[in-house]
This record gives sequence, structure tokens and C-alpha cells, in this order.
Amino acid sequence: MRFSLNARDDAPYDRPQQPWRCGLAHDGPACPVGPDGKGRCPGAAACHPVRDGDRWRCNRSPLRGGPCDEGPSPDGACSVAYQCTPWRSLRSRRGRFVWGAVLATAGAVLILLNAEWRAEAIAPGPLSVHHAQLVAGEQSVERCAACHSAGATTAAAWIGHVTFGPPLESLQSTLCMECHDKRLPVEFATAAHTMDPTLLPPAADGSPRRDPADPIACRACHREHQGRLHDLTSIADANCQACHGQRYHGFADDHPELADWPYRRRTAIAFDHGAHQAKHFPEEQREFACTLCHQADATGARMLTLGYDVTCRECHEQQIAASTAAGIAVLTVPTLDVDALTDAGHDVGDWPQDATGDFDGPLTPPVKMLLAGDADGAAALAELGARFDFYDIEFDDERQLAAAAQAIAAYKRTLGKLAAGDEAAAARFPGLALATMRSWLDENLPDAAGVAATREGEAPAEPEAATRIGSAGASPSPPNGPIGRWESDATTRALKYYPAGHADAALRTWLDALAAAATGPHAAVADPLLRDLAKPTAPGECALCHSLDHADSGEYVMQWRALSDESPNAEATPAALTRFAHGPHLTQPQLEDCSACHRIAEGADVMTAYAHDDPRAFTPGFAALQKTDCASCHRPEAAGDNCTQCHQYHP
Amino acid sequence: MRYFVRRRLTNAAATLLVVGAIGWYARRLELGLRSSSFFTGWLLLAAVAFCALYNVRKRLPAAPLGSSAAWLQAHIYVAVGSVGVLALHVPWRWPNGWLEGTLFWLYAATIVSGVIGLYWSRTLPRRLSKVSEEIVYERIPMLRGQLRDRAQAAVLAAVRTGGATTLGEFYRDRLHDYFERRRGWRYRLLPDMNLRKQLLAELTEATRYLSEAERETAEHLFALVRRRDELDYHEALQWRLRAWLFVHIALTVPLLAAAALHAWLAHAYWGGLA
Repeated sequence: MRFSLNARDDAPYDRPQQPWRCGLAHDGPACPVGPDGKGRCPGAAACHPVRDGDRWRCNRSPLRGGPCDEGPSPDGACSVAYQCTPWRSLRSRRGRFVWGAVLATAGAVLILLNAEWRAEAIAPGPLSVHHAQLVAGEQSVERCAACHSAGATTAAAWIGHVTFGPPLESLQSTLCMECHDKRLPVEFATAAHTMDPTLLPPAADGSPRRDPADPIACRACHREHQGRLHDLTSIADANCQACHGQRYHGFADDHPELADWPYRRRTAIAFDHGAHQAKHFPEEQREFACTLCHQADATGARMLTLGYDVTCRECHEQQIAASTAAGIAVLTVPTLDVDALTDAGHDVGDWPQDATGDFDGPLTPPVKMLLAGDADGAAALAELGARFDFYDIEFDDERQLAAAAQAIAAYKRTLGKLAAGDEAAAARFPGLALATMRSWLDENLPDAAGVAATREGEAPAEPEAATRIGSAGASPSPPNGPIGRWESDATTRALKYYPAGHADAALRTWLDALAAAATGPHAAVADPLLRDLAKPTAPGECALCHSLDHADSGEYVMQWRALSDESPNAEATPAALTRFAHGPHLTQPQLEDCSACHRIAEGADVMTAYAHDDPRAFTPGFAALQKTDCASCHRPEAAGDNCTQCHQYHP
Repeated sequence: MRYFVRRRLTNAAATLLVVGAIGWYARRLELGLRSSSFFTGWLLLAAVAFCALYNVRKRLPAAPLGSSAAWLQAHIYVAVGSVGVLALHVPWRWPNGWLEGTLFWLYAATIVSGVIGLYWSRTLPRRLSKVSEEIVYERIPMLRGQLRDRAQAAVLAAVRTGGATTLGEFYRDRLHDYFERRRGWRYRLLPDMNLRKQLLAELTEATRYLSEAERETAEHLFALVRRRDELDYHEALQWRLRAWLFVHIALTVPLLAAAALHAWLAHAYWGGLA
């Protein structure tokens, strides 16, 4: 039987926490003293011999082996000396290793902060391709500084701005807007939806919502340094719900009904789809098909309405021509009761004999617009009203007679300016040749051409006096469209304008000028004239189809165009936050027919809404869209139902 | 339920609860269009700093700072919880910046070294307890020298008394180096009993050529060889128990430095607004 080895019980007391250990412990028992604190071997003796009479005796403890065989030397020195090279304990070596790591780390950090490649090293990841290409050619410092104020500062300067200090100027969103100011309004860069917070209505259902005035940094949604191919514009539904407190777990279940979308205002062109489908097209034995008039634009996003020539001319051209066949009297010679005027002390100068008698005859809207810019004319219009006709003047009413005399004086002065070639005044009459004008004037009111542009005793009128309406934005723009012809009518002494048909430039000029002036200083004159000229029965019948809108801005706008390639995109309003692309939908077999979504509301009184100028008070010609129309496809497992499929954050 | 199982379940549940609460609040911040990065980042840095404090606590055994065992438990579960906070801080993507990448891999290496150390500190003592008695690591060189001396003395005594040199030659050829030298790195990393088995087999084979006196000494050598192997096994496993701390603690330093630098830069490059 093999016997086991008994463990020794005379082992020394170990102190592994001490930094130094006796070198003898490598190969056997350590010395009883051990190294000092600095790792030096004390070279200690095994004992201190004691003198015993005339001899020295070993004094080693029995615990350390008892008296040695050699014994002390004759002079009393111990013959056993412990000599070694002390070595570091494991704990001490670990401590030195850690300190080495500390020094190496500190060195690495110092190198990093002062190196030329600092910017590359501290960048938290590559930029997306869109931003990377913009700063690709710049130095690394400028690259960072393009978006971070800290990028242009030193490491020492950062110290003052860490933790609770103010951010470095400028704010990052401000730096974003240095490039994105073309697309987004700078003043509302950090406002909700980057638009005027006052435009954002409260949630319809009263659900909690973040205050739209609370600023939102660009990077709240657009996180950079996520890699070259990271989609910066990819927005999660959760981002939308940060402000829109009501949780939408799915379109089909939680989204509100579409309500009035997309029919939030009447169409620019007054067109009753129902009546055309049920009555007018069948009467003309024509096919009523949506694609005859509407086609998607190049992007497929919008369905555009084709032009007049394609869609309307065939049926409506004759109607328009008939309405202007007799011409429009623009410059007239009203009949004046010269005797009454003279008796009242008003001298109107030369006036054709055959135009003398009882007061009768109007001044036309373009002329009245010019009179409004003349002091006498303005006074006369104020007294007589914008719609006055000389027929209305009472011959025994002193004030009316005075006003009539003022009107005639202003009329002659205005005609004089026209004859003198005043461009601003002439621009009101597109296509009217100066020779034609002067010839008419010579035949009818010869003294007008010689009338000074100033009243006796008064300072010369301002050069732009005749265009004072223009101060309200009424300065006519160059003719846009075909121009008709001007002819003098010897019978009525009128200078008539014969429009060129649809889109006639002169009619557009007069209507646009009146619409612009209707909110200016001469609104009292322009507004009623605009109403008269914008009647569906007015010459040219423009307003039969082209609506007059009183826009949210307060201005009046004649809607000359349906949705076309030239139509501007939606303005920065909440309505613009909803988008719809027709293209992808029209490829679906069940949606090829537009009426799958746009169902004509039979019997709807569409046209009544065009009798007034509020584009939002109207009866849609189509039945309201139902959420179920969309939800049949827009489910998570089908076409998807993310917020951003139909809504965009930036208008 | 055993105490340790109950403690693990309790601590793990508390950690999950805390991480869940942090995740809930971070999500709330994000839903409010506010960045949760500073919140989770500072928590992460605090967690790492707290874990590093355990090493300081160990250096102050007399300080009234709670038991080391309690600190160790807190160290372990705070570190585990920090992994969850990191997942909230770095939204499921590999950090691709140089500094962020370095910080991430330092953190990962520290956590992995900690997990390995925890596993070793839980399993190696059990393996060591199955091999002889408790042996103080610092005494192993001394005990090894004693074994060598005893083996040499036994063999010399056998040769001196019996006159036969067979055992002496066997000791010189096969056992001298075994008792004299330390085992190599391969054994330290992957200790096995192959050499011990081989030497004992050879000694058994040689026994039939030995005299009676030598056989008695050979039996003594059998015991010394086994003892030496036990010492080597102890040394290898105890070295492992100490060596992982070299990595774990040393990694903490650059980890803290990189994390602090990262936080500093994040604030400096913060663009204002939430």
C-alpha cells in the first residue's frame, strides 16, 4: 500500500497583500524577515547567537528548525544568512500593470485630442451620402464645423460647454438652416411642422398634443452619423406620436374618418361634373370619361386638368364669341347736360354737340380705375359711387353736377395722358395703338388731347398718379394671352374693344387689376366694379367658369387655371401635410376608373357656391371619400399604413 | 429554495425591473422628441464607475462600506444591468465611429472578462477542492521545492543504503526535471493528468527491476509525483483565478477614460434644443 504525504504544518505566515516577497520562497521556505518595503533583502541571519560562558550558542527557534548544525562563528556571528533577490507579489504586479494601462490611456487620449486626425477619430460614424458629398472636399475641422459649433473650437474650449453649460453658438438647427433655407422657412425652422404655430389647429378630438410652439431640433427626427446609406428622412410613427398624443395603432382602426379631404375648397374652375355627365355630354352625344380631361403629371403625384383647347373649346367657344361679338365700349362719350353744368358754373370745355342733352351714358370700369387715381376723379367717384352712370345725375342737384364736372375734367385729363403716351395708363388697354387712340380723341373730344395734365393753379401731378391703384398691387402686368382689336364706333362715339376669344389678355388685365385693387386704397371703387365684371353674364363670360376667390390672405384672386403643371404646390398650411400620389394607385386594376374613389354626387348644387367669393363655402361635386376606401389596401400586411405614407412633416 | 438560488432570482428580477424602468423612461423621452442618449449614457457611465469602485472597496477592508460580498453582488448585477442600458443607448447597430467603436469593444471585453472571471470564480474552487487540501498560492513554489528536496533525498538514501542505481538512474532520466521545473504555459492554460499518468506508468514499469529497498523508495516517489501534480494543478487553476483580474481591472481604466471622453464630446457637440 502506498502511503500518503502528510502536509507540513510549519509553513510561514503569508502576506500576499505585501508588494514584495522573499526570493527564497521560489525554491523553498522564505526567510523569517522578508524584504523591506522597497524590495530590498535585509540579508538577515537565522538567529542572534547567545553567549554561554566563553562560547556562543545558536539561538534559532524550534519553529524555524531549532539550533543549526554549524553553530555561531567564534566571534558570535550567525553562520546562516538569508540572502535573496526579492520579487514582486502578484498583487503588486497587477497594480503596476493597471498603472501602465492608466498611463497608456492618458497618452492615447492626449494624442487623440491634439492630433490632426482628431475629427475623424471622434466622429461617431460616417455621414449619410447626402451630407457626406457636401463636405467631402473640406478640411476635417471645417467638415465638423459645418454642422457643429464645437467643430471649429479647440479641445480646451469644450471644457466650458460641457455638462450644464450653455450650448456652443450657434444651435445645430440654425446651422442646418444655412443650407436648407430654400426649402424651409427659417423663422419657423424649429416650430412644429416648420410652419407658423398659429396655423396648426388643436386636435379635432381634443386629444393631448405637444405645444406647437415648443421648439423641435432637426436632429430629433433626422439622426446623422448612422452610416452612408442611412435614410435621414425615414420617420417612425412614434415620432409623429410624440406630438399627436392619441395613439394610432393602425390606419383601419384608429385613424379618424377622412372628413372633407380632399375636397376642402371648391375647384378653381366652376365645373359641375354631375350636370356634365348626366345632361350636357349626353345632349351633345359625347362620351363622358375622366381621362378626356384629366391626366397624371410627370411624377404621377397629381392629376392635372388639360387645357381649355382640349377640354372646353369645342362646346364653349361659340358661346364666348357671341358674348363679345358686339364689342365692349371702353372709351365712351357720355351725353352731358352742358347747359345745366354751365348754369351751375361748371365749364366742361368742348363737348360734341350730338352728345349734349340729358345726362346719359356710363364710364367703363377701366376708365373709372384710372379716374380713381386722379384727385378730381376720386372725388367724383366718392360722390357719385363707383357704379355711377350719367343717367343717374339729377340736373338740379348742385353736388352731383359738381361731381359730374369733376369726373369729366378728370376723364379728359386721363385721355390726355393716354394721348400723350403715358405707358402706365396705356397698359390698362392692351393692344390699343396710340394712333388709334389719338384718332378717336380727335374725332370725339379734341380738346382732351390738349388738356394739361394739371389743373389750373395746382402743382404737376405725380408721374405715377394715374397708376395710384397700382399701389395696391394693381399695376398691370404685360398682356398674357391673345389680344383682340380696337375699333372706333362712329355711331356711338365709343372706342370699342373686340376680345380675341378665350383667355383674352385685356379682359384678364382688367379683372386682375380690379381684383388686386379691391383690397387697396381704392377698394370702394374697385370692389363693386370687380363684382360687375366678374358676373357670369359680363362680356366674355369669364366668371362663368373662372371663380373669384377671396383668399385667406384677404386678397381677391381670379382663378384662371385649373390644376396644371404650372400650378404651385400647396402652401405651408396644415392641409399641405397630407399627400397623395395618384400614379401608384392608378396602376391598381380596381382603381383604374377614377370613380372608384371620386364618386360624383348626383344632384349636388355645385354651381351655387360660385356666386360668392369664399372658396371654402361650397358643395362638393363628389361624395366624401370613406376611410374604408383606403383601408382595404392600407393595412400593415398589404400596402402599409405608416403615418408618413400619407402625411409629411414638412409642408 | 436554496439561499443562493433565491438570491440570484431576487437580484436578477430587481435588475430586470430597474432596466425595464430605465427603458420605459428612455422611450418616453424619445416619444417626446427628446434624446434619451444623455440619460442612458450617464447611467451607463455611472454603472461602469460604480463597478470600478469595487476594486477601491477591496483596498479598504476596514472601511464601513458594507461587506465585500454585498459589493460583489452589486458589482455583478449592476454590470449585467448595464448591458441592458447599453442596448437602450446604442439602438441595435454596431458602432462605426472610431472612438465609439473603441469604447464599445472595450466595454464588451470588460464584460466578457468579467463573465469569464465570474464563471471561473464559481467553478474552479469546486474543482480545486476535489484535489487534496487547500493550498495557498503563494506557498506553492516553496512546497514544490520541498517536494523536490524530499524526492532527491529519498532517492539518494536508497542508492546509499542499497547500492543499486536503477532507481537513481530512473530519477535522473525521468523525474529530476519533473520535480525541478515548473510546468509550461500549455499546462497552465489547459491542465491535464497526462504527464502524471505517464510518469507513474513508467515508474510502475521500472519497479520490477528495482531492489526491495528501491521499491520502498519508489512507493514514496509515487506519492511525491502525485503531490507534485496536485501542486501544479492548484497553481494552474489559482493562477487563472488571479490572471483574469489583470485583464478585467486593466480594461476598466481605458473603458472609463473612453466613456468620459465620449460623454464630454457628446455634450460639446450637442447642438442645443432637446
